[in-house]
Amino acid sequence: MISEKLKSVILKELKLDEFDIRDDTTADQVPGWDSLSHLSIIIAIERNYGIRFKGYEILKCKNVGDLQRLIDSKFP
Amino acid sequence: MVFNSFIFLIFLAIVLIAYYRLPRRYRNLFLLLCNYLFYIYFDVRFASLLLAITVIDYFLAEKIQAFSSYKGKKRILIIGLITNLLALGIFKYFNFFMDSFVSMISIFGFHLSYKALELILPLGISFYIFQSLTYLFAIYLEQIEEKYTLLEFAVFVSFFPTISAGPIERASNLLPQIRQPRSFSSSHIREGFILITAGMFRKVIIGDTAGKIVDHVFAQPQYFASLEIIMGILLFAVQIYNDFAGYSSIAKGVAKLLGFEIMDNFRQPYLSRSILEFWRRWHISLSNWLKDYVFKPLQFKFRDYDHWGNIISLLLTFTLCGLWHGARWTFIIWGFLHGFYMSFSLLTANLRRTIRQKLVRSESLKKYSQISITFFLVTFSWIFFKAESFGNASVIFERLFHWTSSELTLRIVIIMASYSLASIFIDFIEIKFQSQAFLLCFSKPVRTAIILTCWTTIFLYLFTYEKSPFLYTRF
Repeated sequence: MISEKLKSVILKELKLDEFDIRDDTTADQVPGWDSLSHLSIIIAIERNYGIRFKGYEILKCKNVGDLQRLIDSKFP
Repeated sequence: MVFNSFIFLIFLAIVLIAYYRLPRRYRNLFLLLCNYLFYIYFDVRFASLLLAITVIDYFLAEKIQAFSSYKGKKRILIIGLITNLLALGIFKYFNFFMDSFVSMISIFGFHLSYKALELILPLGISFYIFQSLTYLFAIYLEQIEEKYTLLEFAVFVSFFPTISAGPIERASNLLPQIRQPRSFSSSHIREGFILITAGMFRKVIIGDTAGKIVDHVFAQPQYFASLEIIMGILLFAVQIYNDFAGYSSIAKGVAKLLGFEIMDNFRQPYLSRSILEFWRRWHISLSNWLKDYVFKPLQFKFRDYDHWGNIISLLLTFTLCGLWHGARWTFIIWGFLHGFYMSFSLLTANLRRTIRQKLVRSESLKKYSQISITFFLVTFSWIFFKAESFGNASVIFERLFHWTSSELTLRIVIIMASYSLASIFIDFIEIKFQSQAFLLCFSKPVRTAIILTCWTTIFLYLFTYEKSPFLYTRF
């Protein structure tokens, strides 16, 4: 389940008003989410949640659901 | 054996007949034997290197899987990267780095003599090492959970349709297909044959014939007028695209005949509206490999430097891309230039959007001007890619910037138009039918007539002219 907070961070970085982001949504399905904007999304998430990711953690994420689970794991 | 040869066509026919007659459980073993036979035909000496890389990478992947902590996994991954890149570095770059080092220190008055290694570049080393590494990365990132046998992995690394010049396939795409039983399918045979036809047409009819003029111009540019130099550069843009896209289409077709689906390597790249889009459409397998395994880790490492982090990552990645193509400073410059294009594009994105919104109202004008500018930038960079040395490149530039007039002859116009239109026509048909195997969309009589005409022309060329190797097999 993707939190509203994560959805709003992603939409704000991509300057989108609305997009249906789900567990199995991948970057290539979201308009404007390319390899350059990908990093700004990750940085925005780190800033908003006050967390820091490791490289392999981000590379392992296949979809937004994986990203949400990764964020959740930072708050045991 | 090269794809555009009679011996390969005979080899392929024999392989296919035997492959589908064998019980399924023996097909992978048979495919492995064919892979090594294909490789040994080129050069028997380096089959042992291919085998060594395969065995080492397989057992390193096992070690990565055995570790539960990421620290342990990362250590083994680094060992794997060092081993593979060392093999690539010794065979491909040793003499280049030594020459460059010796030249650099001679500026400071030091003189070093060394014995250059007399090394021949093993066929496909740049491709199969990168392909093998995708397995190590996939295991490290837990993108592959199944355990594959050494036989399956060996078939993957030595896969003959892709070993000499790609596409660089992903372990996560090809290994599951190697594991699956593959049945004979007449639709696969039909589609595979059409892909091979399209590829051979691009390579032999467009690429090779354009290449004869290109080689002439680039060999001795000082004897050609400026307009002829421009023609040579534009024809090189046509040649390299059709040569490589043709090869990739043949590779895809051969894989299809064997029951495999491999990735597209080109998607009409000269219709790109930006350099970023160009690299999503040109040599897609390499650009995705570099994006996933070089750019993204660098970008992440430098993320605290905002835009500059992206720029450093882009410049490093594209310079590496240039270096991958060959041990030559002109390749490095070519790669760096693309990194510069991407960085400039990133830094000026907002400004350019504002200018476009103010100056360009028409969507068509915007689209075609973007395509033209991108094509110009890409074609300009091809000068460095094709030039054998700085000296060669500087003569080309001198001819471009100190205009020497010549007649814009009808002959020049016809040559340019015919090659360009042939290439563009095929691209537009692929877009219209959303497939490289667009002939399948035609009625059977029309399709048969086109195929017969193509192969008659191709055979005539193969009989008449000396075979030209595929440009990317030298990388």
